[in-house]
Amino acid sequence: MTEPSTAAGLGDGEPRTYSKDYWDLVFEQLARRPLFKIGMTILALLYATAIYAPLIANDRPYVLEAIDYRAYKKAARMLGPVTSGVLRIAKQTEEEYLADRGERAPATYEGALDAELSPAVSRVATMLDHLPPEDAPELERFLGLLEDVKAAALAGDAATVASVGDEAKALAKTIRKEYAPREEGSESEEGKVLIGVVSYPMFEATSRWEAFFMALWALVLTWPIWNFLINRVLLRRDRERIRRWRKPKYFGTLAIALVTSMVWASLFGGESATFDTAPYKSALTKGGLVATRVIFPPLPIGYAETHLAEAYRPPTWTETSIMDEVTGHYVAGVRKPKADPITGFLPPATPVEIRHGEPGLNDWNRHIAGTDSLGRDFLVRIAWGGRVSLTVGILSSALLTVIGVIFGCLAGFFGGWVDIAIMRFIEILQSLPAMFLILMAMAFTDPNFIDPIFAIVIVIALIRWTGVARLVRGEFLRLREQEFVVAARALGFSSWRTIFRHVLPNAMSPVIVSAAFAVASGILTESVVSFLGFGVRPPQASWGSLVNESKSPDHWWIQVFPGLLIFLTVTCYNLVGDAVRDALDPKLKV
Amino acid sequence: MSNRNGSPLIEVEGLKKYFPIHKGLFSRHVGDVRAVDGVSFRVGRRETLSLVGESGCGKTTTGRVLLRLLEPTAGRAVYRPDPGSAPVELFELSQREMRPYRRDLQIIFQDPYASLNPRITVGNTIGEPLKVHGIAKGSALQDQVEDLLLKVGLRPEIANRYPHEFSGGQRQRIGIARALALRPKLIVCDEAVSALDVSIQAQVINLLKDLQEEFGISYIFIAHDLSVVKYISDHVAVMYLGRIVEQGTTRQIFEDPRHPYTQALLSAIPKPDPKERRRHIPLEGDVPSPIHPPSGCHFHTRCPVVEDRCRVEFPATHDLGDGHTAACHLLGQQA
Amino acid sequence: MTLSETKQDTDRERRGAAVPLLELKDLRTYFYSEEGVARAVDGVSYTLLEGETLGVVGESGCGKSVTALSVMQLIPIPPGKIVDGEILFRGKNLLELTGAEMRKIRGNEIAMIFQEPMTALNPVYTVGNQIIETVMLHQGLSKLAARDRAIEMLSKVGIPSPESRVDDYPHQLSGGMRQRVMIAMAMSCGPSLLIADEPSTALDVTIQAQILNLIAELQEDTGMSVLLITHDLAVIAETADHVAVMYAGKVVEYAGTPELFERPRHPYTIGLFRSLPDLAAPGQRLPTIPGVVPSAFHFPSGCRFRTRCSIATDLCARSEPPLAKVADSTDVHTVACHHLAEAQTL
Repeated sequence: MTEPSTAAGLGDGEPRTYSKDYWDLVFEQLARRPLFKIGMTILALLYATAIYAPLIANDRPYVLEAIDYRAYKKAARMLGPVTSGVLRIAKQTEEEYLADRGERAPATYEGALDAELSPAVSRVATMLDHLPPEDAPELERFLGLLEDVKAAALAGDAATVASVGDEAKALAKTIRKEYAPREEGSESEEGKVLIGVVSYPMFEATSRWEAFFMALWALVLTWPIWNFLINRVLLRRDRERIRRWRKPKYFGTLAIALVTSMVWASLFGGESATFDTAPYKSALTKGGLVATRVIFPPLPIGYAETHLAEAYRPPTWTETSIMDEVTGHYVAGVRKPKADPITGFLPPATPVEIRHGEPGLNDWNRHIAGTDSLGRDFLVRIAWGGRVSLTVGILSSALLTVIGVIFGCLAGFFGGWVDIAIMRFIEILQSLPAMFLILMAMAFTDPNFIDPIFAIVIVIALIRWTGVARLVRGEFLRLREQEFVVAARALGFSSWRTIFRHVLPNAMSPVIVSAAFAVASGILTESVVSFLGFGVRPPQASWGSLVNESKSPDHWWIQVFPGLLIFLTVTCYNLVGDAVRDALDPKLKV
Repeated sequence: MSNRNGSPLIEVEGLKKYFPIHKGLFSRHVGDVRAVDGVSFRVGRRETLSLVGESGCGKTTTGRVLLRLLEPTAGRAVYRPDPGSAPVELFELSQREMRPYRRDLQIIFQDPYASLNPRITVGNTIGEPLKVHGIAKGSALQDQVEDLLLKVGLRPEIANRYPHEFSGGQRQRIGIARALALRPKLIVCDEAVSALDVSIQAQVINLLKDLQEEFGISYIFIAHDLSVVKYISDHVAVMYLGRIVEQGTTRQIFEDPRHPYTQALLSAIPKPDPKERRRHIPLEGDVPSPIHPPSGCHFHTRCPVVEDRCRVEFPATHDLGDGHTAACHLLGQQA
Repeated sequence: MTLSETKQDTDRERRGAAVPLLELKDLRTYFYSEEGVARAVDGVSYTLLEGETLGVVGESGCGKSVTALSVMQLIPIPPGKIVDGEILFRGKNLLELTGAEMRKIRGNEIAMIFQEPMTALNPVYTVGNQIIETVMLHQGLSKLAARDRAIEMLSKVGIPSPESRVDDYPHQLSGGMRQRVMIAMAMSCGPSLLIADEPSTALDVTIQAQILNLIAELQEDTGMSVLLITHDLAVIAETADHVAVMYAGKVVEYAGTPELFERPRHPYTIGLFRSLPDLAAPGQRLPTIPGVVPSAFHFPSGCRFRTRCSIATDLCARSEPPLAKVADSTDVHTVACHHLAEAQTL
């Protein structure tokens, strides 16, 4: 045989230029598992409903173009009094004012004038909003007069103050008379025709963080499409380039969401106002507001909006839910009131108030999931409650994983007394009953001091991190003796480098799986805690606390719907966790 | 040639490594596993010393203690980087002080499937030591990595690939490239070819010899396969239960073994020659446990020529001339 | 005359006469996975006579273990499948037996011992228990009688103080001991065929010698046949009567042991011998076979060894050489190569 060289080929004889790395192999395995895809899709949709709940189920309209007659009339009435207020200060000299002022009055003369001036400005603004541009000059002249009074007062010019003041007063009276609103449908020519003010109540009540998540989730939900497009068009299916673009894609998504949220904040203000029932619907119903254009969300009922006459109403698509419009009684089924057989007395009931924008009394879609004890729409509360449950799940899992990984690393890598100390601590913690600890901890938290959601997250994380720590420690112990780690030491690498670059990445596989299951467990724990009343406080809701609304078997929808959703979410997380565990192939591990 | 007597590269004296045994609730120290119980040898420059023995004899532990991957219980190791340079007491350095010397003392492992980090590309695995020790950066680093890959007989294009694509023999070559990156003076080959198929084994052995020629590397070759040992070594040390029972040149050991254990070991090797089917006398019994080694000469429980003295007294190391030594009572009685 | 020469004569006599104990005819075992079809065993034929030892030698990936597992029908059915061929044990095709019939044969008439004594024994049962289980199942003995037999077997395989050892758990025994226990288990029902899959590879060299010795002694005592699977040519030289060399799922050479070692014909066999350090002069470079064993998913067309063979031609790529008898040989010697004459010049 001829003298061969030691050069070895690659065996297969097939030239491949792309080498799959760890994530390629993982994704490949995951893509082959249909249960994983189903689970992730359902979870994505569940999170979508949670994230978009403010957009879908809200009693604030998207767009409101309305004439606020009440506010306008009040503003017009107040023009006189505000003028008097300004003049009262203006007629005093500076010295007189300062000598005479009460404790709570502004400290400076100018401050006092401004304090009286600002309500005038806002009243005029209200009126201006409702008037077409050609009616503006009078009002602006009025404001100008008041400004002159202020200037004159500061200059000490009493005469000007008096004369301009009188002029302002007169003008106020005129405006009040002439600018009275012409009622709709009236024939007379008097008064002004008001125009609607456009506002975006819902968007203004949505904070910038909500906008961030909404934008992020929109990108996540459409990921298959734009990812495919980028890979196909931009990167031309070159797998090397696709791999290099992985990180830019993730950061790009975050960046776009961030930018969107900033734009949103600048457009709409960005403060969140989730709990209060907005006055819009009642104002529209009672006539205080007259809407020329209003668009309500699909579920136009508020999170905390009560319809006391509709307490514990079954879902409106069932027969037993039908109510009479006039008497407010149920028409069929067990809820139908029985007249006293002798006297024929029927207990009275309050008819239900149908507010502006809501579906009709017996429309199937009025209360798709029924109502709770205060007549709040249950579906809306489930949607908003989902936010709490899902958030607690994810955050608690993330936090406990981080804590567990840190402790596990310390115990596993350093060994010796560090390991012993941490293990004993873990054992003590694990010997305490977890649920009681959690309930106790939650009982001591003051909901005014700390938001119950964060409290639950922290409590769950502080009690449940031990399992992850054990996992990580076990992996470390195993990996420490693996030859490639010994090689790292032999090559003179520092301990930090060895841990972070060599050991930790290979130790993470069971941690990822455990994190998925921890979310499911977190959701269940939070449900139990809230069900027992130790979690979120009303009117905030989570799925667990919603189940607590009624224990009567008559009110089946209260137990079934939130329970089903908890079941669905937990099942999906378990499916996903299982698939990930199967996919982390031993071939990928050492 | 090898300067082993004058100025050996590594000189080890009385190396001991005990692993303490802790039992009970408070982890009391109840005894020791005497993995290595007083071992002395020398390695010359450009030379291969093989440590052979069966499982539990302590050869792997010796290799790791020498590189300070395990802390020695006793003994000293003197390292002379060059013939004229000052000797360095390796066991007296702290781990931190060891760091620069780690470049000179490297190791390759038995299991090719566990010796490479599966998450890092081949190129990064080989290049990382260069980066950490500040030897090269950027494109200079790339060049050196490709150079190393060529040296071990692999195509430089594979630097971007991940270890799972390669066979055992190829992975072993990558491990060799990694060890070679720092231009070491000594490489401990810890059963480096034991897990490979015969034809691949031959390739890797050839490679090791070539590298020895080109770079003047010394090897401490730890193995249990005596035919490979015979082919590749200059000197051989036979270990049994933590002690060296016989030492000498390859020729001395294979042609004139004096210690009963060495003789038994050599006769137990099957020969690939059907005509030589002798009914050799295999050793009876099993290797004793290192926790409770037999008294006196460790080998006495299985020795075919055991005497009363052997059960009681530990044999001294007898010099058989020309650097050939063996530890057996019976040798003192001969010549 | 040496031992091997006397044995050869008796072999020749026997060969003319008997029905072979085990005969594989064109056996094919494939594994199906997402990556494709792995043709682990792709047309393997060899015979094993009564009382003889057949050594099957090859490197990892050549299919020798899968062949043995196929005989025992221990191949996991998905993803594996015995696709074609016949396995004739005393003339009966094992592939046609039902599960129950096959179970009667396994452990009873054909026994197998494995490579890793550490994991081949069940750690939660005593070693005695494991032997007793087999014996009670196949021979219908009572528990007491079975225990006696177990102790007898343990002493036969050379375990000291078997009466006390019989109640030990596997972890209390050393590797060599465990391997002996496995042999005891295998022998406890007096099989006519013992399949030994790398029985000594995981053991130290002195223990290895003991175990091989033991197997040889037991074979002399009972007259059983041994199918010895290994990658170690030296072990083959010491123990086997005939040798089948496998590469990439096929048998490439088959011959009597002395003949194979004296004059190997196939380029692969020749290369294997050359790369043995035993046969090399120190200081000289070890001749090697370039390249690596091809993956079972992508075997080369035609002769599978051609990608590593220095005398390969176009013919080798086009057509697979059949196992053909060598003209000038004293015994049955078959080789699968197109260029036998050139191979001799290697």
